[in-house]
Amino acid sequence: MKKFLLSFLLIISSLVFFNVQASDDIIGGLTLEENFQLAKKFPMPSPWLLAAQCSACHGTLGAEYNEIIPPLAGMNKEEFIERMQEYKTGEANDFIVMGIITQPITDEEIIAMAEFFAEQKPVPWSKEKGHKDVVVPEWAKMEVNKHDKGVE
Amino acid sequence: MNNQNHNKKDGLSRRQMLKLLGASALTYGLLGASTKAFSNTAPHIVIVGGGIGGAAAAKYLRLLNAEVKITVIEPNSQYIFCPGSNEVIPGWVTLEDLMVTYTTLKTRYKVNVIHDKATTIDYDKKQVKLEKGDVLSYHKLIVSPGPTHGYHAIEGFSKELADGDFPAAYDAGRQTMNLRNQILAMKKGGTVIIAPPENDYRCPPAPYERASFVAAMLKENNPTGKILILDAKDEFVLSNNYIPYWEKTFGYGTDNSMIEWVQKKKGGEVVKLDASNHAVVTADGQTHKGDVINIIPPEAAGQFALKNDLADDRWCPVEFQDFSSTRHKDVYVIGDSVDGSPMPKTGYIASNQARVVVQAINDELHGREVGTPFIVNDCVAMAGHDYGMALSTTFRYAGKGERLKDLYYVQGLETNPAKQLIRQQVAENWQRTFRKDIFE
Ligand SMILES: Cc1cc2nc3c(=O)[nH]c(=O)nc-3n(C[C@H](O)[C@H](O)[C@H](O)COP(=O)(O)OP(=O)(O)OC[C@H]3O[C@@H](n4cnc5c(N)ncnc54)[C@H](O)[C@@H]3O)c2cc1C
Repeated sequence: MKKFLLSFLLIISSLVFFNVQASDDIIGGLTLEENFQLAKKFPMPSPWLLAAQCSACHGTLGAEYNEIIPPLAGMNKEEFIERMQEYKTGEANDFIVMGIITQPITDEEIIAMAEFFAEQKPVPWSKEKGHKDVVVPEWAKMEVNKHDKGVE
Repeated sequence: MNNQNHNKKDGLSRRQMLKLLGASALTYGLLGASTKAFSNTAPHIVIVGGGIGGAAAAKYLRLLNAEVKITVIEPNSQYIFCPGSNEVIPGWVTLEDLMVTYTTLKTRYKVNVIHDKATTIDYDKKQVKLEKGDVLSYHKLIVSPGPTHGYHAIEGFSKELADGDFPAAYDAGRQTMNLRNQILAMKKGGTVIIAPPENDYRCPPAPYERASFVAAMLKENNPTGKILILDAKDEFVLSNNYIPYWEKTFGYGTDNSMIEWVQKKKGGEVVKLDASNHAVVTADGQTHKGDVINIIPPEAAGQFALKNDLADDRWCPVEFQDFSSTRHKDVYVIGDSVDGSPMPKTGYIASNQARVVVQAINDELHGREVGTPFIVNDCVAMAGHDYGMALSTTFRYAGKGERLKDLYYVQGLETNPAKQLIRQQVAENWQRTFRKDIFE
């Protein structure tokens, strides 16, 4: 929780005190327009598959939240759409991933994801190690070096 | 080479599949499998490799379908994640943090895990043979064996040397620890040589992330130590972040720089390891001595895929709607072994390819049209404790026989320290969430 608050404060302070733009972004592959043309040409990916693309960061099917990445599961449909559109149109701060990743997603896809996530249940991230039966071989044993460890 | 199997339509027909499934199987079940045994007629989906691609396929197939029988073949009883393994070198995380077992897959997702090595596929009988003698029949086979590390492409190098004094550390494990220990024990002012491979290979920014972390480590313990990157390429992804970070943090570009990067065109390509002299030789004939030598050899599709005729040359061609092999029917290839360009070889991609495959298989089992694939890769990498980066790409379907089409966005140099830190935090959080997403 402390970590979460700290991160949150950092976000706020970065919004208020800095207005430095990232430089040297590199954009390539399809243009946005070509991307939307392709999206139109083929049937829409299923809501499940669209939502599953978020799993690696937001937990399985958006269900899990940790101190810096919020859950998507259980989010109100309208709120999800609004947030995604804010990212997409650049009105929301885009310092991490969402301002970018929303660009090529179509409005229809956003709605489909919103409906899917609204029906899922969020699960808080637990600090407990999931795999209690891991056997650490002798050669793998080591000390952690916490020196200079960011916001810890 | 093998053409007779190219017509995939004459695999198991939809109707046969449905029959096999039985009427009750048509429910779009979620974990309904907990109490009942799988019927003898349930379709059997066999997965070779219990790494990121294979484990994601098993778990997500079960999320879609409670009825199918799922078997994963994996020789190791524990998996060690590569994402995060560069952090093990300076000791920011432990190998233990990256270790998972197959228990949750077995108990929660009712996946049958056989700890053995798959050897050969009999495409006519639709069977996989295992090293210890088992033979498994499959309806669909998903292959995700990771890459082959081509040690022999470098003269004088071998797996034995990599397991010994010259760790490649490009699978997380003993070699990772060995590399860490060697760097910790290196003499003051010594040189670490890191030799990244030519394209394509898993996790394109990882050798440079490694150089960054090792530099941070040396700065702390061995400040006159040096890192020499001898590269088989002229460019690398995210260099628009790494180079300025190195300039700022390690004096990159000055006479006193801790890191020197030699491009291929400047003579960087390592072609030979001279183990007895603890040196490498580059394509231009120069010899470079290193106190620690970390050659990351070039890669190809996994041995299992190569031996079973799933690769054209180096990688396995697939039809991108469902990642079915274009060489053999009822077989799907995902992960690092796929000829997937423009998709990079990452765990993120492997897991999302897995989701495409299991959806396609499930659609086919239910007699539905196979859906349209859509794949995201969010590479959140780090340059140090205080600097994270993001590279986001979406991949869209472009029609039968076409490769997926990418749209990518690499965020540039971030000068706002608060934002840098948040990006770094996201990268760290991602690793944990990702491990749970695949194995819990
Ligand atoms: C240093 C490093 C850092 C990385 N960082 C990231 C990162 O931050 N983000 C990211 O997305 N990716 C990262 N990656 C890349 C990622 O680890 C790979 O892309 C991913 O593991 C590919 O998944 P896979 O299923 O193809 O292979 P693997 O995960 O390697 O799994 C293959 C499995 O198949 C098994 N196997 C092999 N042959 C057989 C056989 N014959 N029978 C049965 N089983 C077999 C192996 O034992 C293994 O468990 C990193 C890689 C490295 C090396």
